Amino acid sequence: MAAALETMNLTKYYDKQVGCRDVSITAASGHVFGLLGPNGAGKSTLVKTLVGLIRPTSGRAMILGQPLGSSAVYEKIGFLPELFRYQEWLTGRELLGLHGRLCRMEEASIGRRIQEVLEIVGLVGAENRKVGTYSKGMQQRIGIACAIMNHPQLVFLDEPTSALDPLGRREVRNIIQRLKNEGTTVFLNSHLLSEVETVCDEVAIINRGRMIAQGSLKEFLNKKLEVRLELTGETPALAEELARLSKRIERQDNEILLEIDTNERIPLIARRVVETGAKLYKLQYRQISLEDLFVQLLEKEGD
Amino acid sequence: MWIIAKLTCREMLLRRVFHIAFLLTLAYLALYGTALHYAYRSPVHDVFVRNIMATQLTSMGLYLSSFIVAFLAVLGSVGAIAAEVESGVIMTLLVKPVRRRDYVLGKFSGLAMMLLAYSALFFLAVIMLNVFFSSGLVQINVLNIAKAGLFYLSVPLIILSISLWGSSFLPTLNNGVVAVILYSAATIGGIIEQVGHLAKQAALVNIGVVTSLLLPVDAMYRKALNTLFAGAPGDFTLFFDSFFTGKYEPSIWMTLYAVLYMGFFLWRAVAVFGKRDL
Repeated sequence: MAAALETMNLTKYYDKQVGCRDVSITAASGHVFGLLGPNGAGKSTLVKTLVGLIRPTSGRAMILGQPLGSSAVYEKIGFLPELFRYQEWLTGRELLGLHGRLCRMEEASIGRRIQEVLEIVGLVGAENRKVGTYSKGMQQRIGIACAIMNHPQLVFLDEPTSALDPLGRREVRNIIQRLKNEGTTVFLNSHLLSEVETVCDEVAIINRGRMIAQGSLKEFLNKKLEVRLELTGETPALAEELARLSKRIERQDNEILLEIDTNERIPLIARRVVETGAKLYKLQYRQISLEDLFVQLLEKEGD
Repeated sequence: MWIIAKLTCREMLLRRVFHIAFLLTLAYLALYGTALHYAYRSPVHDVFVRNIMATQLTSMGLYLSSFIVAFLAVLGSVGAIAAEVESGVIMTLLVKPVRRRDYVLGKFSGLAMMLLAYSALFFLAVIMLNVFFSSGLVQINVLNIAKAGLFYLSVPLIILSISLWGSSFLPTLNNGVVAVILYSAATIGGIIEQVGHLAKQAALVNIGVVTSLLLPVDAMYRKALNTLFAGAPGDFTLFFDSFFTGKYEPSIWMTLYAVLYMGFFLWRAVAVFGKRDL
């Protein structure tokens, strides 16, 4: 699959302070790419660099096949900043019209698109109110509407759910899913791990300005699988077999904790236990959550 | 660029500072007109005294109008870019097919249109009030008004250019302080220069020239007045040398300098903002 976004050793220093360093990531076209990291890790610096608000100190990036900063890119991308405000004296409709014109959309298509995006973000009925009268959640939605006004091929969403209640978050997730279904690539910057876990295809984790892990979400979650067995009558042959099937074993009383590399091992483990005559009382499978992995990676970084 | 210019015009029209300035301007003109009405009905018929009065009233009216225009230019432009950077509004605009150069020039164009319209109306209103109430004592030809108007209108444009440059890299408050200090220095410098001419003190004249180089607004205002009354009939220009007016006209080189000054700071605003991290 073609890359919608690719960075090569992208680096940004603020004087001598690192914003982000040697970041090399690839976001496949049509995927939802999640950027994770603790506060101050350099997520927003990276996003702002990618959308051209910040000039990189070194490195390169290609966005939709164009080099970073190319004016042609701006017609094809959308951006919802983390800390944003819109012209509060404009109505929602006027604001969207403004963004349509800034994106050089044809005048005839602007009105139609405004109606579409209002429906997508659930602001139908509020379009003639001044943006300054909108609640935080509504402002976030109009922000998303502005970001997708020009049918972008790539949308950068910087903490899009930070001001929203759980219901609003779910709606944003649905919008992201809808964008994905329409073939739009979404670059999601969030510190809400559950959100990333729900909607992202690919994930990258940044800490202290450096990329510490990246890959598909599936790969991430399959990196660490645990099976907890409760059994009696373990024979030396079974112990040897379990050691062969797992990457790591921990024992505590009747419980055995196995770390395995694929869930294909689970039925095999169950069969071996039964075949050796041991009594199996419990087999519990646990896939590591993104949060666990995130914490582990950061702890490892801290060591 | 024109979308940004239009947006800037609309924003300025909706801003409270503009509404207040407009209302206060009307109040000022009403007060000034009333004062002129009574002043020109004075029973004193001495031509000498009436000429002094006409000179002082016209120049004082224009001086204060220039002062108000300058402050509106400062207030309207110190946060033109900086306030949008501080609020985050700019982030949503620049991640569109809008070049930073067009954003700065759009801001300049929008603000310039509003300030020029306001200044032109103010300038004409002050002159017309004097022409109307003086019963022929104040006579100014149209060509002089047009030429003087160009110099007069350059004042808000000069302030706008340097203020926009400051706004491209300074926070709103800091830029406002710098702009007000520069304007005050230029105004005081202009008065010192006039005193220097009268007292024949080259050092004082030089101080005025230096402050005019820092911000050539006072020089352009004086150029406007001298142009306005050039060739006026009778003794009207004879006493045209108060601190609010100044019969010592800035040279053509100062005019050229003012034009280059505007161009330079507008260019620097575009260049500085073009490289700024947001």
